[in-house]
Amino acid sequence: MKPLSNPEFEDSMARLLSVNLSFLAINKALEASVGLSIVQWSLLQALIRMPAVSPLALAKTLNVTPGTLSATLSRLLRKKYVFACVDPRDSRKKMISITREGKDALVLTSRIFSSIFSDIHTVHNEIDLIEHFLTNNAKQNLQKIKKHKIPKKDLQF
Amino acid sequence: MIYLFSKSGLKLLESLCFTKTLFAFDFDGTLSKIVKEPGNATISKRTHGLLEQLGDQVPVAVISGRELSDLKSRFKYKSHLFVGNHGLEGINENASHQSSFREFSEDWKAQLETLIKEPREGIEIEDKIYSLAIHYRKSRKKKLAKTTILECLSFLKPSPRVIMGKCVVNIIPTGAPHKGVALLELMLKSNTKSAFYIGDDDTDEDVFSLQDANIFTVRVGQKAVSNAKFYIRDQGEINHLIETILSFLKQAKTAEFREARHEAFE
Repeated sequence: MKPLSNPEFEDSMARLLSVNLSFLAINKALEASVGLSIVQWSLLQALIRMPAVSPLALAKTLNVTPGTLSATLSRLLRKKYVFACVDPRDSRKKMISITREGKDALVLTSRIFSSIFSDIHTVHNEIDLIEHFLTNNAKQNLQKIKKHKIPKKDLQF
Repeated sequence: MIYLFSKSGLKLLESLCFTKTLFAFDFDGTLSKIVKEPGNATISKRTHGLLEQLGDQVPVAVISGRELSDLKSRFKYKSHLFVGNHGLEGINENASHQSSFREFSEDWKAQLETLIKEPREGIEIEDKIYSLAIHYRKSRKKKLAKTTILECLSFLKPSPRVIMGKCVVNIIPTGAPHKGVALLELMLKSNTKSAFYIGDDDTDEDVFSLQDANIFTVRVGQKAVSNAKFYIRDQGEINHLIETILSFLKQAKTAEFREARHEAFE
Protein backbone atom coordinates (compact mmCIF):
# COMPACT_ATOMS: atom_id res chain seq x y z
CA MET A 1 0.00 0.00 0.00
CA LYS A 2 1.64 3.17 -1.20
CA PRO A 3 0.78 5.99 1.14
CA LEU A 4 -0.55 9.29 -0.26
CA SER A 5 0.44 12.61 1.23
CA ASN A 6 -2.26 13.93 3.48
CA PRO A 7 -3.55 16.71 1.19
CA GLU A 8 -3.66 14.33 -1.82
CA PHE A 9 -5.44 11.71 0.22
CA GLU A 10 -8.00 14.14 1.62
CA ASP A 11 -8.65 15.57 -1.83
CA SER A 12 -9.23 12.11 -3.33
CA MET A 13 -11.53 11.07 -0.51
CA ALA A 14 -13.50 14.30 -0.93
CA ARG A 15 -13.94 13.54 -4.63
CA LEU A 16 -15.10 10.03 -3.88
CA LEU A 17 -17.60 11.37 -1.42
CA SER A 18 -18.76 13.91 -3.98
CA VAL A 19 -19.47 11.14 -6.50
CA ASN A 20 -21.52 9.30 -3.91
CA LEU A 21 -23.43 12.44 -2.93
CA SER A 22 -24.07 13.33 -6.57
CA PHE A 23 -25.45 9.88 -7.20
CA LEU A 24 -27.72 10.13 -4.16
CA ALA A 25 -28.88 13.59 -5.21
CA ILE A 26 -29.73 12.58 -8.75
CA ASN A 27 -31.45 9.45 -7.47
CA LYS A 28 -33.63 11.60 -5.24
CA ALA A 29 -34.31 14.13 -8.00
CA LEU A 30 -35.28 11.39 -10.44
CA GLU A 31 -37.70 9.84 -8.01
CA ALA A 32 -39.28 13.24 -7.32
CA SER A 33 -39.67 14.23 -11.00
CA VAL A 34 -39.88 10.97 -12.91
CA GLY A 35 -41.34 8.70 -10.26
CA LEU A 36 -38.51 6.20 -9.97
CA SER A 37 -34.92 6.43 -8.81
CA ILE A 38 -32.13 4.54 -10.58
CA VAL A 39 -32.10 2.01 -7.74
CA GLN A 40 -35.85 1.44 -7.97
CA TRP A 41 -35.70 1.27 -11.75
CA SER A 42 -32.94 -1.37 -11.56
CA LEU A 43 -34.97 -3.43 -9.14
CA LEU A 44 -38.03 -3.34 -11.40
CA GLN A 45 -35.86 -4.25 -14.40
CA ALA A 46 -34.70 -7.36 -12.56
CA LEU A 47 -38.15 -8.16 -11.23
CA ILE A 48 -39.89 -8.08 -14.61
CA ARG A 49 -37.66 -10.97 -15.69
CA MET A 50 -38.18 -12.91 -12.43
CA PRO A 51 -41.87 -13.22 -11.61
CA ALA A 52 -42.85 -14.52 -8.16
CA VAL A 53 -39.27 -14.37 -6.90
CA SER A 54 -38.17 -14.46 -3.25
CA PRO A 55 -36.51 -11.32 -1.83
CA LEU A 56 -33.38 -13.38 -1.13
CA ALA A 57 -33.09 -14.57 -4.74
CA LEU A 58 -33.71 -11.02 -5.97
CA ALA A 59 -31.00 -9.63 -3.68
CA LYS A 60 -28.55 -12.25 -4.98
CA THR A 61 -29.34 -11.33 -8.58
CA LEU A 62 -28.81 -7.63 -7.87
CA ASN A 63 -25.71 -8.36 -5.81
CA VAL A 64 -26.99 -6.49 -2.77
CA THR A 65 -27.77 -7.56 0.78
CA PRO A 66 -31.40 -8.33 1.65
CA GLY A 67 -31.32 -5.40 4.05
CA THR A 68 -30.38 -2.98 1.27
CA LEU A 69 -33.13 -4.35 -0.90
CA SER A 70 -35.71 -4.10 1.85
CA ALA A 71 -35.86 -0.28 1.91
CA THR A 72 -36.25 -0.04 -1.87
CA LEU A 73 -38.85 -2.79 -1.92
CA SER A 74 -40.88 -1.03 0.77
CA ARG A 75 -41.02 2.14 -1.31
CA LEU A 76 -42.09 0.22 -4.39
CA LEU A 77 -44.73 -1.65 -2.40
CA ARG A 78 -46.15 1.67 -1.19
CA LYS A 79 -46.31 2.90 -4.78
CA LYS A 80 -48.04 -0.39 -5.70
CA TYR A 81 -45.40 -1.08 -8.34
CA VAL A 82 -44.61 -4.42 -6.76
CA PHE A 83 -46.77 -6.93 -5.04
CA ALA A 84 -45.86 -9.36 -2.25
CA CYS A 85 -47.61 -12.42 -0.94
CA VAL A 86 -46.76 -15.39 1.24
CA ASP A 87 -45.11 -18.33 -0.54
CA PRO A 88 -47.72 -21.12 -0.39
CA ARG A 89 -44.93 -23.69 -0.07
CA ASP A 90 -43.29 -21.99 2.87
CA SER A 91 -45.23 -19.50 4.95
CA ARG A 92 -41.98 -18.03 6.30
CA LYS A 93 -41.07 -16.82 2.81
CA LYS A 94 -42.52 -14.22 0.49
CA MET A 95 -42.93 -13.98 -3.27
CA ILE A 96 -42.48 -10.65 -5.02
CA SER A 97 -43.78 -9.70 -8.46
CA ILE A 98 -44.04 -6.57 -10.49
CA THR A 99 -47.59 -5.24 -10.92
CA ARG A 100 -49.14 -3.90 -14.10
CA GLU A 101 -48.68 -0.36 -12.73
CA GLY A 102 -45.05 -1.16 -12.03
CA LYS A 103 -44.53 -2.48 -15.52
CA ASP A 104 -46.12 0.61 -17.06
CA ALA A 105 -43.98 2.88 -14.84
CA LEU A 106 -40.88 0.90 -15.82
CA VAL A 107 -41.59 1.23 -19.55
CA LEU A 108 -42.24 4.98 -19.26
CA THR A 109 -39.23 5.59 -17.01
CA SER A 110 -36.92 3.59 -19.27
CA ARG A 111 -37.81 5.93 -22.10
CA ILE A 112 -37.14 9.00 -19.95
CA PHE A 113 -33.90 7.60 -18.51
CA SER A 114 -32.57 6.82 -21.96
CA SER A 115 -33.03 10.53 -22.78
CA ILE A 116 -31.56 11.82 -19.52
CA PHE A 117 -28.60 9.46 -19.65
CA SER A 118 -28.20 9.43 -23.41
CA ASP A 119 -24.45 10.19 -23.10
CA ILE A 120 -23.71 7.65 -20.41
CA HIS A 121 -21.73 5.53 -22.83
CA THR A 122 -19.11 8.33 -22.97
CA VAL A 123 -18.20 7.74 -19.33
CA HIS A 124 -18.32 3.93 -19.31
CA ASN A 125 -14.58 3.66 -18.75
CA GLU A 126 -14.58 6.14 -15.87
CA ILE A 127 -17.48 4.33 -14.19
CA ASP A 128 -15.65 1.04 -14.64
CA LEU A 129 -12.51 2.47 -13.08
CA ILE A 130 -14.34 3.79 -10.02
CA GLU A 131 -16.24 0.56 -9.59
CA HIS A 132 -13.07 -1.46 -9.99
CA PHE A 133 -11.30 0.70 -7.44
CA LEU A 134 -14.05 0.35 -4.85
CA THR A 135 -14.83 -3.33 -5.30
CA ASN A 136 -11.26 -4.52 -5.85
CA ASN A 137 -8.53 -2.24 -4.54
CA ALA A 138 -10.28 -0.70 -1.55
CA LYS A 139 -12.05 -3.90 -0.62
CA GLN A 140 -8.88 -5.99 -0.91
CA ASN A 141 -6.95 -3.56 1.26
CA LEU A 142 -9.72 -3.73 3.83
CA GLN A 143 -9.61 -7.52 3.74
CA LYS A 144 -5.86 -7.46 4.35
CA ILE A 145 -6.30 -5.28 7.41
CA LYS A 146 -9.03 -7.54 8.75
CA LYS A 147 -7.03 -10.68 7.95
CA HIS A 148 -3.89 -9.60 9.74
CA LYS A 149 -6.02 -8.24 12.56
CA ILE A 150 -3.90 -5.12 12.77
CA PRO A 151 -5.17 -2.95 15.62
CA LYS A 152 -6.39 0.37 14.28
CA LYS A 153 -3.92 2.26 16.43
CA ASP A 154 -1.02 0.39 14.83
CA LEU A 155 -1.96 1.05 11.23
CA GLN A 156 1.05 2.83 9.68
CA PHE A 157 1.18 4.82 6.48
CA MET B 1 -51.93 -23.64 -1.97
CA ILE B 2 -53.42 -20.40 -3.23
CA TYR B 3 -56.50 -20.37 -5.42
CA LEU B 4 -55.22 -19.17 -8.79
CA PHE B 5 -58.19 -16.90 -9.45
CA SER B 6 -57.76 -15.09 -6.13
CA LYS B 7 -56.37 -11.52 -6.17
CA SER B 8 -52.84 -12.74 -5.33
CA GLY B 9 -52.95 -15.57 -7.81
CA LEU B 10 -54.10 -13.33 -10.65
CA LYS B 11 -51.46 -10.69 -9.94
CA LEU B 12 -48.74 -13.31 -9.96
CA LEU B 13 -50.15 -14.91 -13.12
CA GLU B 14 -50.24 -11.52 -14.82
CA SER B 15 -46.58 -10.89 -13.94
CA LEU B 16 -45.68 -14.07 -15.84
CA CYS B 17 -47.10 -12.45 -18.97
CA PHE B 18 -44.64 -9.55 -18.74
CA THR B 19 -41.71 -11.76 -19.65
CA LYS B 20 -41.13 -14.65 -22.04
CA THR B 21 -42.73 -17.65 -20.34
CA LEU B 22 -43.32 -21.22 -21.41
CA PHE B 23 -46.91 -22.30 -20.75
CA ALA B 24 -47.06 -26.06 -20.26
CA PHE B 25 -50.06 -28.28 -19.67
CA ASP B 26 -50.70 -31.85 -18.66
CA PHE B 27 -53.27 -33.59 -20.86
CA ASP B 28 -55.57 -36.08 -19.11
CA GLY B 29 -57.53 -34.40 -16.36
CA THR B 30 -56.16 -30.98 -17.28
CA LEU B 31 -56.74 -30.10 -20.92
CA SER B 32 -59.18 -32.98 -21.28
CA LYS B 33 -61.60 -34.51 -18.81
CA ILE B 34 -60.80 -37.86 -17.24
CA VAL B 35 -62.79 -40.53 -19.08
CA LYS B 36 -63.36 -44.22 -18.50
CA GLU B 37 -61.84 -45.26 -21.78
CA PRO B 38 -58.42 -43.53 -22.28
CA GLY B 39 -58.88 -43.74 -26.02
CA ASN B 40 -61.93 -41.50 -25.78
CA ALA B 41 -60.19 -38.56 -24.11
CA THR B 42 -60.47 -35.41 -26.19
CA ILE B 43 -60.07 -31.73 -25.61
CA SER B 44 -63.07 -29.56 -26.35
CA LYS B 45 -63.17 -27.37 -29.46
CA ARG B 46 -63.17 -24.31 -27.26
CA THR B 47 -60.05 -25.42 -25.36
CA HIS B 48 -58.36 -26.37 -28.59
CA GLY B 49 -59.08 -22.96 -30.09
CA LEU B 50 -57.87 -21.10 -27.02
CA LEU B 51 -54.68 -23.14 -26.90
CA GLU B 52 -54.07 -22.37 -30.55
CA GLN B 53 -54.47 -18.62 -29.88
CA LEU B 54 -52.06 -18.94 -26.98
CA GLY B 55 -49.55 -20.87 -29.09
CA ASP B 56 -49.57 -18.03 -31.64
CA GLN B 57 -48.18 -15.69 -28.99
CA VAL B 58 -46.06 -17.68 -26.54
CA PRO B 59 -44.33 -21.07 -26.39
CA VAL B 60 -46.87 -23.75 -25.40
CA ALA B 61 -46.08 -27.31 -24.39
CA VAL B 62 -48.13 -30.38 -23.55
CA ILE B 63 -46.41 -32.87 -21.24
CA SER B 64 -48.29 -36.11 -20.81
CA GLY B 65 -47.99 -39.68 -19.66
CA ARG B 66 -49.47 -40.80 -22.96
CA GLU B 67 -47.37 -42.19 -25.75
CA LEU B 68 -46.10 -39.32 -27.90
CA SER B 69 -47.81 -40.38 -31.11
CA ASP B 70 -51.09 -40.86 -29.23
CA LEU B 71 -50.76 -37.41 -27.65
CA LYS B 72 -49.96 -35.60 -30.91
CA SER B 73 -52.88 -37.26 -32.67
CA ARG B 74 -55.29 -35.43 -30.35
CA PHE B 75 -54.20 -31.99 -31.52
CA LYS B 76 -54.73 -30.35 -34.89
CA TYR B 77 -52.36 -27.49 -34.02
CA LYS B 78 -48.87 -28.93 -34.46
CA SER B 79 -46.72 -25.99 -33.37
CA HIS B 80 -46.94 -26.79 -29.69
CA LEU B 81 -44.10 -28.66 -28.02
CA PHE B 82 -45.14 -32.20 -27.13
CA VAL B 83 -43.57 -34.54 -24.60
CA GLY B 84 -44.98 -38.00 -24.00
CA ASN B 85 -44.47 -40.95 -21.72
CA HIS B 86 -43.89 -38.78 -18.62
CA GLY B 87 -40.80 -37.22 -20.20
CA LEU B 88 -39.40 -40.28 -21.94
CA GLU B 89 -40.41 -39.18 -25.44
CA GLY B 90 -40.19 -35.93 -27.33
CA ILE B 91 -37.17 -34.26 -25.78
CA ASN B 92 -33.46 -35.17 -25.85
CA GLU B 93 -34.21 -38.74 -26.77
CA ASN B 94 -31.28 -41.06 -26.31
CA ALA B 95 -31.57 -44.11 -28.56
CA SER B 96 -29.66 -46.51 -26.32
CA HIS B 97 -31.56 -45.41 -23.20
CA GLN B 98 -34.84 -45.75 -25.01
CA SER B 99 -33.88 -49.20 -26.16
CA SER B 100 -33.27 -50.19 -22.50
CA PHE B 101 -36.55 -48.61 -21.44
CA ARG B 102 -38.38 -50.57 -24.13
CA GLU B 103 -36.79 -53.82 -22.94
CA PHE B 104 -37.72 -53.12 -19.31
CA SER B 105 -41.31 -52.40 -20.27
CA GLU B 106 -41.62 -55.54 -22.36
CA ASP B 107 -40.15 -57.58 -19.54
CA TRP B 108 -42.45 -56.07 -16.91
CA LYS B 109 -45.46 -56.59 -19.09
CA ALA B 110 -44.62 -60.27 -19.45
CA GLN B 111 -44.11 -60.58 -15.68
CA LEU B 112 -47.36 -58.77 -14.90
CA GLU B 113 -49.37 -60.92 -17.31
CA THR B 114 -48.33 -63.86 -15.11
CA LEU B 115 -48.56 -62.13 -11.73
CA ILE B 116 -51.94 -60.40 -12.02
CA LYS B 117 -54.38 -63.26 -11.78
CA GLU B 118 -57.55 -62.72 -9.71
CA PRO B 119 -59.33 -60.42 -9.66
CA ARG B 120 -58.40 -59.41 -13.19
CA GLU B 121 -61.74 -57.88 -14.01
CA GLY B 122 -61.43 -54.16 -14.77
CA ILE B 123 -57.61 -54.21 -14.79
CA GLU B 124 -55.98 -53.32 -18.09
CA ILE B 125 -52.30 -53.04 -18.89
CA GLU B 126 -51.53 -50.28 -21.38
CA ASP B 127 -48.25 -50.76 -23.20
CA LYS B 128 -46.72 -47.36 -23.93
CA ILE B 129 -43.54 -48.88 -25.35
CA TYR B 130 -41.18 -47.18 -22.88
CA SER B 131 -43.44 -47.46 -19.85
CA LEU B 132 -46.63 -49.18 -18.72
CA ALA B 133 -49.87 -47.92 -17.29
CA ILE B 134 -52.15 -50.28 -15.38
CA HIS B 135 -55.70 -48.95 -15.45
CA TYR B 136 -58.33 -50.05 -12.98
CA ARG B 137 -61.00 -47.42 -13.55
CA LYS B 138 -63.39 -50.00 -14.92
CA SER B 139 -63.00 -52.28 -11.92
CA ARG B 140 -66.01 -52.51 -9.63
CA LYS B 141 -63.72 -53.16 -6.68
CA LYS B 142 -61.21 -50.37 -7.15
CA LYS B 143 -59.56 -50.65 -3.74
CA LEU B 144 -58.96 -54.36 -4.17
CA ALA B 145 -57.74 -53.86 -7.73
CA LYS B 146 -55.26 -51.20 -6.58
CA THR B 147 -53.96 -53.40 -3.76
CA THR B 148 -53.58 -56.35 -6.11
CA ILE B 149 -51.65 -54.27 -8.62
CA LEU B 150 -49.30 -52.82 -6.01
CA GLU B 151 -48.63 -56.24 -4.55
CA CYS B 152 -47.72 -57.60 -7.97
CA LEU B 153 -45.45 -54.66 -8.67
CA SER B 154 -43.36 -55.52 -5.62
CA PHE B 155 -42.29 -58.72 -7.40
CA LEU B 156 -41.12 -57.03 -10.58
CA LYS B 157 -37.46 -57.31 -11.49
CA PRO B 158 -35.81 -54.86 -11.90
CA SER B 159 -37.89 -52.66 -9.61
CA PRO B 160 -39.66 -49.90 -11.48
CA ARG B 161 -40.52 -46.44 -10.39
CA VAL B 162 -44.22 -46.39 -9.56
CA ILE B 163 -46.29 -43.24 -9.92
CA MET B 164 -49.91 -43.29 -8.89
CA GLY B 165 -52.48 -41.56 -11.06
CA LYS B 166 -56.25 -41.38 -11.02
CA CYS B 167 -57.31 -45.03 -11.15
CA VAL B 168 -54.04 -45.82 -12.90
CA VAL B 169 -50.65 -47.04 -11.77
CA ASN B 170 -47.76 -45.87 -13.94
CA ILE B 171 -44.61 -47.96 -14.14
CA ILE B 172 -41.54 -46.15 -15.36
CA PRO B 173 -37.90 -47.26 -15.58
CA THR B 174 -35.87 -46.09 -12.58
CA GLY B 175 -33.56 -43.25 -13.48
CA ALA B 176 -35.58 -42.30 -16.56
CA PRO B 177 -36.39 -38.64 -17.15
CA HIS B 178 -39.64 -37.42 -15.65
CA LYS B 179 -42.00 -34.53 -16.28
CA GLY B 180 -39.88 -32.15 -14.21
CA VAL B 181 -36.78 -32.86 -16.28
CA ALA B 182 -38.87 -32.53 -19.44
CA LEU B 183 -40.10 -29.09 -18.41
CA LEU B 184 -36.58 -27.87 -17.69
CA GLU B 185 -35.42 -29.16 -21.09
CA LEU B 186 -38.36 -27.46 -22.78
CA MET B 187 -37.46 -24.18 -21.09
CA LEU B 188 -33.96 -24.45 -22.57
CA LYS B 189 -35.35 -25.37 -25.97
CA SER B 190 -37.81 -22.44 -26.00
CA ASN B 191 -35.25 -20.05 -24.53
CA THR B 192 -37.47 -19.09 -21.61
CA LYS B 193 -36.40 -18.43 -18.04
CA SER B 194 -39.91 -18.72 -16.58
CA ALA B 195 -42.50 -21.43 -16.93
CA PHE B 196 -46.11 -22.07 -16.01
CA TYR B 197 -47.21 -25.66 -15.51
CA ILE B 198 -50.62 -27.11 -14.69
CA GLY B 199 -51.40 -30.75 -13.98
CA ASP B 200 -53.88 -32.79 -12.04
CA ASP B 201 -52.26 -35.74 -10.37
CA ASP B 202 -49.28 -37.35 -8.71
CA THR B 203 -47.36 -37.73 -11.97
CA ASP B 204 -47.22 -33.94 -12.07
CA GLU B 205 -45.62 -33.71 -8.63
CA ASP B 206 -42.23 -34.17 -10.33
CA VAL B 207 -42.83 -30.71 -11.81
CA PHE B 208 -44.42 -29.25 -8.70
CA SER B 209 -41.38 -30.33 -6.66
CA LEU B 210 -38.88 -28.46 -8.82
CA GLN B 211 -37.05 -25.92 -6.68
CA ASP B 212 -36.72 -23.37 -9.48
CA ALA B 213 -38.56 -20.26 -8.25
CA ASN B 214 -39.26 -19.23 -11.84
CA ILE B 215 -41.64 -22.16 -12.30
CA PHE B 216 -45.23 -21.31 -11.51
CA THR B 217 -47.05 -24.51 -10.58
CA VAL B 218 -50.80 -25.12 -10.54
CA ARG B 219 -52.74 -28.22 -9.60
CA VAL B 220 -56.20 -29.06 -10.89
CA GLY B 221 -58.10 -29.60 -7.69
CA GLN B 222 -56.89 -28.58 -4.27
CA LYS B 223 -54.81 -31.18 -2.45
CA ALA B 224 -53.21 -30.65 0.95
CA VAL B 225 -50.06 -32.67 0.29
CA SER B 226 -49.27 -31.29 -3.15
CA ASN B 227 -46.11 -29.26 -3.83
CA ALA B 228 -47.96 -27.06 -6.31
CA LYS B 229 -48.20 -23.43 -5.28
CA PHE B 230 -51.61 -22.73 -6.78
CA TYR B 231 -54.75 -24.60 -7.70
CA ILE B 232 -57.85 -24.28 -9.82
CA ARG B 233 -61.02 -25.92 -8.55
CA ASP B 234 -61.49 -28.45 -11.32
CA GLN B 235 -60.86 -29.20 -14.99
CA GLY B 236 -63.90 -27.09 -15.85
CA GLU B 237 -61.88 -23.94 -15.12
CA ILE B 238 -59.23 -24.65 -17.76
CA ASN B 239 -60.87 -22.49 -20.43
CA HIS B 240 -61.22 -19.60 -18.01
CA LEU B 241 -57.52 -20.00 -17.19
CA ILE B 242 -56.39 -19.84 -20.81
CA GLU B 243 -58.75 -16.92 -21.51
CA THR B 244 -57.27 -15.07 -18.53
CA ILE B 245 -53.72 -15.63 -19.76
CA LEU B 246 -54.72 -14.42 -23.23
CA SER B 247 -56.32 -11.33 -21.73
CA PHE B 248 -53.16 -10.50 -19.76
CA LEU B 249 -51.00 -11.00 -22.85
CA LYS B 250 -53.28 -8.76 -24.86
CA GLN B 251 -53.10 -5.99 -22.23
CA ALA B 252 -49.34 -6.26 -22.07
CA LYS B 253 -49.11 -6.04 -25.87
CA THR B 254 -51.50 -3.06 -26.01
CA ALA B 255 -49.33 -1.14 -23.54
CA GLU B 256 -46.21 -1.94 -25.56
CA PHE B 257 -47.92 -0.86 -28.78
CA ARG B 258 -49.01 2.44 -27.20
CA GLU B 259 -45.43 3.01 -26.03
CA ALA B 260 -43.95 2.20 -29.44
CA ARG B 261 -46.44 4.50 -31.14
CA HIS B 262 -45.58 7.28 -28.70
CA GLU B 263 -41.88 6.85 -29.49
CA ALA B 264 -42.54 6.86 -33.23
CA PHE B 265 -44.33 10.19 -33.04
CA GLU B 266 -41.73 11.94 -30.86
